[in-house]
Amino acid sequence: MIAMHNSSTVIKTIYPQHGDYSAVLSASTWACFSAEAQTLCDDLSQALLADREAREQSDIVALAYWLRAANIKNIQQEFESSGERQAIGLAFHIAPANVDTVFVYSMILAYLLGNPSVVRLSERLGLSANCIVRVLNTFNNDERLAGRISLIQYPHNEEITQRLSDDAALRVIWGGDQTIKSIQGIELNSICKDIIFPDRYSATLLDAKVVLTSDISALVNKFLQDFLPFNQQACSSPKTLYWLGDEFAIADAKNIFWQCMAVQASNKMSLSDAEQYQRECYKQQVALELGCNAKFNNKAGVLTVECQHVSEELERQHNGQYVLFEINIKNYEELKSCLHDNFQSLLTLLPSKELKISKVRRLARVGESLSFHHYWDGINMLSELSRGLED
Amino acid sequence: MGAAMLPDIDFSEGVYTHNAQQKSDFLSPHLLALTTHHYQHCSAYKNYIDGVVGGIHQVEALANIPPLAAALFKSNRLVSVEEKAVFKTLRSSGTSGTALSTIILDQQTAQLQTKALGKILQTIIGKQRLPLLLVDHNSLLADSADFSARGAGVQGLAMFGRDQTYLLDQTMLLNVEALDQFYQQYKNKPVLMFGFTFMVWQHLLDVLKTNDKHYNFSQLTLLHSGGWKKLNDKAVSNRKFEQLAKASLGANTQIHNFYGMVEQTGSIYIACEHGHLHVPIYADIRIRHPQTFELVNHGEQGLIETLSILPRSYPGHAILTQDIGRIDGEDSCSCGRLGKTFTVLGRQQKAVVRGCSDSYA
Repeated sequence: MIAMHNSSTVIKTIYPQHGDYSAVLSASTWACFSAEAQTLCDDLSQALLADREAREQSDIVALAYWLRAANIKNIQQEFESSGERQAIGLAFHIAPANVDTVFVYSMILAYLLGNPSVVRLSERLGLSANCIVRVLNTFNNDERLAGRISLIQYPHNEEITQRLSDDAALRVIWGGDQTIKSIQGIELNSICKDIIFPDRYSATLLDAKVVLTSDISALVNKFLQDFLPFNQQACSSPKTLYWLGDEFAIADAKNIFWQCMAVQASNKMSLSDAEQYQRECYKQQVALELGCNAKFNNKAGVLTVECQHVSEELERQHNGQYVLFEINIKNYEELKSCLHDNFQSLLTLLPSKELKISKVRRLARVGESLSFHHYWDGINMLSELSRGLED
Repeated sequence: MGAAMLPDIDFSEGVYTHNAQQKSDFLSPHLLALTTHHYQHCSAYKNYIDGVVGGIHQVEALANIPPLAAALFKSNRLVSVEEKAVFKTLRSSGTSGTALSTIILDQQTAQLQTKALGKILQTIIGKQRLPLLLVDHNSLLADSADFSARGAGVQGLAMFGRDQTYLLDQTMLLNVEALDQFYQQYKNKPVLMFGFTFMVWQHLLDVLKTNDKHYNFSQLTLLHSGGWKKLNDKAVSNRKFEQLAKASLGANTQIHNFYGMVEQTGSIYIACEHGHLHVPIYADIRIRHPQTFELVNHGEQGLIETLSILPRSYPGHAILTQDIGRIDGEDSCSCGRLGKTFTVLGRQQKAVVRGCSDSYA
């Protein structure tokens, strides 16, 4: 049955360009990891790297790398090891405004698993998202993609969200607590399920002794790859830096770390006046709660706050702008007591087994804060975007 | 630690009669005592001072008092009196965002606000209570967030007039009959009109113009406040506003814009006959660099910090606004009033959200 969308006048279809988004609403499911879908991913990977503007963007390069045939084969192998599974049906993705590439990952995973997808993008697209949309549109008449995916934009409109939800078998909701609250307020048909990505908090853990024997310049470089993008506002951007070790080792390690930061990070953290104001407000809020237990400093352009503990509420209010809590810990037990239920990525030099503690949804190496994995935020997207034969 | 005594405010002092040195001599003891008072009576403010400047002993001079960002009144309930002393809680949407500011008033602070506001208004309209036209509707108890800010302003002003006549109904429709009646009664007498700038423009002046309706009040004083932002969208300049007001209400109409913070009701900044906003004795204006938050020189533009000696029940005596402004002069206005004059240039642009947590905005 073809659903009627009377509000289609306010829905703008940006892929397929000049096409109609509603074709995907009645598309059938495909087999998981079909040959067509896999070759399409590899072709898209090459097209992205061949595009002069796209290949300049590091997040697109990472995406293209993830899309290449060998990586998709690896994902397929992992998927098939968990028994026979099949597609669910129409997936409705609600993408975040300014983390440009994240929607592609969930969309491609849905596509590989045989689900047609409609993706609602923000009305203000960043540079990377624009590149991706442009390159995708070079596959406009490709049979492997036609009727499988549409990208749309529309202003805040509960009615449209309701209608798309009515047609969907699952929704992938990015965009934090507020978005999730308002979208989950919409009543769902009985078969539709939600995969949600709420606001999360992430941290870097540095073992002082390891830092003292590492190539400090390379380490700082990787730390900056995690710390700088999106003004530190992504949910996997580190906002606390835990220093592990004894007092003296930590003092030495901090010293060389910040000296190197001063060299390598200089001028990379310019904030607009409004961003500075946000940072000042947050600084005052931290002071209001921690008082003399917070020691503020400006190190290499970063507003650092040396303290012993950060409340979940303060973590929730953190809005990036290069504010970094520095907390010294003696052992992993102390680390455990610092983490809250909202915790996501722990970025560390040596992701050892001992660090697989229950609150850590994602353990990754320093420098990999933004590299996507289908096991994201504690959710295995391969199994969430498919179902077992008996389900 | 004993409770610090707050010095009484001498309301017999002239509102605009102190030069720069006299002004700072007058303000210093009040503002420093308030800083100590709030440090002792508001634990969150104590934390703020301890965290940001390293303790109350660091605040020895006026220049060292750190301003609290206005936004903090949205995320915190800041109070320096016991709960049983709370007389009124003001909630206001302020100028941006969805969260409401919460301002806690005790009887004393509310009285000081009224007293200061009265003194400031007297310099413009004299001691008499004048017949008052309010460009608003009188359902002040309506529970909408947008209204409570306006409601508080209207209520504050209304008590300085008599025969208060509300010109709008709840749908913002102009009650022409009420205006005609008021006009017949008072066209040759001194009268006062108050409204928020965009409301006066949109729901009064623009409507009168469209209907080609004109009045000729002989002694009307129009006080308006509340920012130009909504009018800037319509490209209305101050001059255009005044021209139309005079054309619609009477050529002799005296028009005074004023600037004020809901966080500091009472100590408002009224523009003189030359259009310059003046700082009254109960308040001060400082400008801070938007990147470093250091104080800048007169003439340089930056974030406006407002100081007021009135807030005793909440730590709002030094507030960092998100308004951009500039000090134009001090003790130098040709109207004869002493003190600083300044210009409000507008509101700082909002920061762009770059993270994952914004898709539905």
